[in-house]
Amino acid sequence: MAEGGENAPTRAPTSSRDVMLGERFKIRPGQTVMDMATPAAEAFVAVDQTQPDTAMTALVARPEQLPRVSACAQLKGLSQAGAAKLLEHGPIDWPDGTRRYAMVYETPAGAAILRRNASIQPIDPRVLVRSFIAPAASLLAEYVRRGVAHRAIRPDNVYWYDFGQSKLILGPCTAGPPGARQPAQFEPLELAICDPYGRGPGTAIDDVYSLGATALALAMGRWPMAEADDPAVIQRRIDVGNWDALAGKYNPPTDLYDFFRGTLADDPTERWTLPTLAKWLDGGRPALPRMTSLAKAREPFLFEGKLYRTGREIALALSKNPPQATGAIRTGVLADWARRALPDDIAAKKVQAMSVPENPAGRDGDPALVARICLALDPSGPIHISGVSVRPDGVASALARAYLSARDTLPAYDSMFRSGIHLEWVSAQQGPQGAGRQARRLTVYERLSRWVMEPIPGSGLERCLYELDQRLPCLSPLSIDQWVESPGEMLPAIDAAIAEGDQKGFDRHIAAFLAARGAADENALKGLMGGSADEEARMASLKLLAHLQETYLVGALPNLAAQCAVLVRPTVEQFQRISTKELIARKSETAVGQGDLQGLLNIVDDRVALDADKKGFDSAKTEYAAASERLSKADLVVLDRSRQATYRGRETATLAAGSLALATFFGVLAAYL
Amino acid sequence: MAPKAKLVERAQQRSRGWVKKVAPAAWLLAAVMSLMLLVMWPAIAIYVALAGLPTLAMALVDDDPERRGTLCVGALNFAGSLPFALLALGGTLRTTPLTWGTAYFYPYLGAMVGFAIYVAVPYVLRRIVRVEEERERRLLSERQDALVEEWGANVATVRLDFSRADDAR
Repeated sequence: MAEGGENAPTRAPTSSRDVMLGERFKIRPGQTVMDMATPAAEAFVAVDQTQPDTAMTALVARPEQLPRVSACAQLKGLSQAGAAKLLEHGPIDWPDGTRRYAMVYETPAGAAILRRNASIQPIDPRVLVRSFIAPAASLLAEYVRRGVAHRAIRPDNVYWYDFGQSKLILGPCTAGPPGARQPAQFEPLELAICDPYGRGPGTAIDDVYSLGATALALAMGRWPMAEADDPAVIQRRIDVGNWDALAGKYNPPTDLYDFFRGTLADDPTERWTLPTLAKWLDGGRPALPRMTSLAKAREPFLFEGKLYRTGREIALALSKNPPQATGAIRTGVLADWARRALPDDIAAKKVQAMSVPENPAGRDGDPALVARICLALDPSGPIHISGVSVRPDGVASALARAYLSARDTLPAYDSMFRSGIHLEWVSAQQGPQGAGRQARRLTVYERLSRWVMEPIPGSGLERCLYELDQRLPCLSPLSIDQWVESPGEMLPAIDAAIAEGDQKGFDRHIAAFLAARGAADENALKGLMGGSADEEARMASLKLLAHLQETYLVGALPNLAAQCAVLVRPTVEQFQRISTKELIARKSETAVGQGDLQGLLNIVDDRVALDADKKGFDSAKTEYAAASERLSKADLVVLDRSRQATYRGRETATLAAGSLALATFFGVLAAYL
Repeated sequence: MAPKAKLVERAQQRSRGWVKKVAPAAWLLAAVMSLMLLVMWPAIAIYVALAGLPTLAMALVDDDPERRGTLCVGALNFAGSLPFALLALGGTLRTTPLTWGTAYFYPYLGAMVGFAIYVAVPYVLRRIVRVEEERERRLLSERQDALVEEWGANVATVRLDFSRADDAR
């Protein structure tokens, strides 16, 4: 891989022990691969134990970075020319004690072909088509079949596959959220104006644009607009269109003219699709996109000292300055301009209507009002709210990013879901680039508002997070270092945290995670989160944990069991028979020792035994009370019985005396006769 | 009141009714016979009167409504004097019983035995009742202790019902 020794393995100052990914791949934390490292993932040498001579690179996600796990699952083992082969992926135990996500790729034969501010010999158009565009188009078609988009096609992620430099391949695309590392030059404009983490998974059409832009860079031998930053690139592309902005004075080869025009079309609905690209590669002459540009206003809109002429520009400007945007809307300045100058009559009418104070658009507060105005001005753009610009299908990664390192943006997402702007955004989309790609997620979108507004455990923004991305690990401080992706993995993480004396406890992330992935109900989560949970909630929480332990075949959880023993103590106290309590305590200790939550549940969830105990106790109470009553009246009873005894005794004495008298009478009489 | 106690009370009332009905006739008969005895055999009458002094004394102190003490003492007292009176009447005795010590010994001994029976039998029965009651109390207390041991102190947290205590008393 070391073209010029650039990306040769370099030994770290201190070597660490090897880390295993599965049973096949050995990762060497002491040997980094600098050329494959990105801000999202570190790169290390990996060894395939079945093929020790094949060069492998392990991308290990950096802390607080979230790789595309679901895409990894789809792309693993895909052996197709045109992309680096993903051989294995999964969480690993890193030497620093955390669990990180690793992805093992075949190492390309050379360094990244073209980095920003670097230049290379322009690649011949025919070589470019044969070595790069054709394999990449075929690869993207396979990606479509697997339901993923690459979303990381850019010159510094393209490598020579072999030392003979016969083929170019696309580099890894799973190290970070889709499109997050894409410079504005290589991202479709409607995605480039989003926040990097809020661009969404994208589609093949987005990849086609990136392929076109990257091919342009390779054909030019340099990055287009390499010196410009992203805002400048975006502004330029809005002003003059994609082709003029990127190519500038570059005169494309005739062979690639149609390709660049088709793939870099400004209107996404006009842009070439993969079948169209395949047709062109087969020598066909697909229809070229119409040359369209964004409709410009009849007069510019002055905002914060700058002049803007398109709805998209104004939406971007308003989104960057929410307080000033609110002023422009509330004072009617924007509405007046829209009435006079905005060429889109529908958008103009919407802006005017929403600017009226009584309009329902303002019912959810100023951030939502600005977002609605931006949506009216640029329906195909992202949602702009409180300084955040995201597409609804990119909310999952953007929200995860916010929780990890930008918590000040969380209120923006809360406001978005509460006001339902994400649903309005879906309604505003048109064509295959719009509603069609969002329709399948509409059901989930509709639930987001409810989850945010419900004040119950397991709801809130955290629930949205885990429902939107089913492979996202739990971001709770308790488990963030453990890469917990399923409820079964959550339990050992909690157990370990308890063992270490970690007092973080069950937080909102864990509750939402278990609600989304473990189908935990409100009652069970209330019991887990403690507070004023009643006996029913505590039982429900234990049932949930026991169910998860059994379902996911989790081993012993002694620390969690010990905590659950405390959780069920009130239930145990309901038993009255002392011997039963002692028996339960012994069984409980055994279950705790074995870390068996199901065993613990079986003990306390025995309703039959509890009912029998209750009946027995009631009976005993009655018996005790009867005895007490009898004892309290004992003196009176003795008095009564003594009186009767006296009466009977005197009767008996009378009879006895009478009988004796007769005997005496006759005895004396006989003695003297 | 328990059914058994009611039966006893009813029996006592019936008994008192019979005694009250018969008592005047018995007294009248006794008075006539005593008068006849005193007129016809004054010495024997005086003997019987002197020999019957314990019965008279018992009759004065007897607190039993049915005079069972008097009956007990009187029966044996009379059983001791009557043979001597009859023997004297029949002329079998060589001396008058009025002045014969032995003729007083038997009636007085009989009265003492009668008194002893009258006192002892109820006393024994009362003792038996008390022993039984003590045994029953002990069994109840032991049962209560066993219940507390089996179920804990909570089993004793029951309000006792003393509403009928006054009735029983």
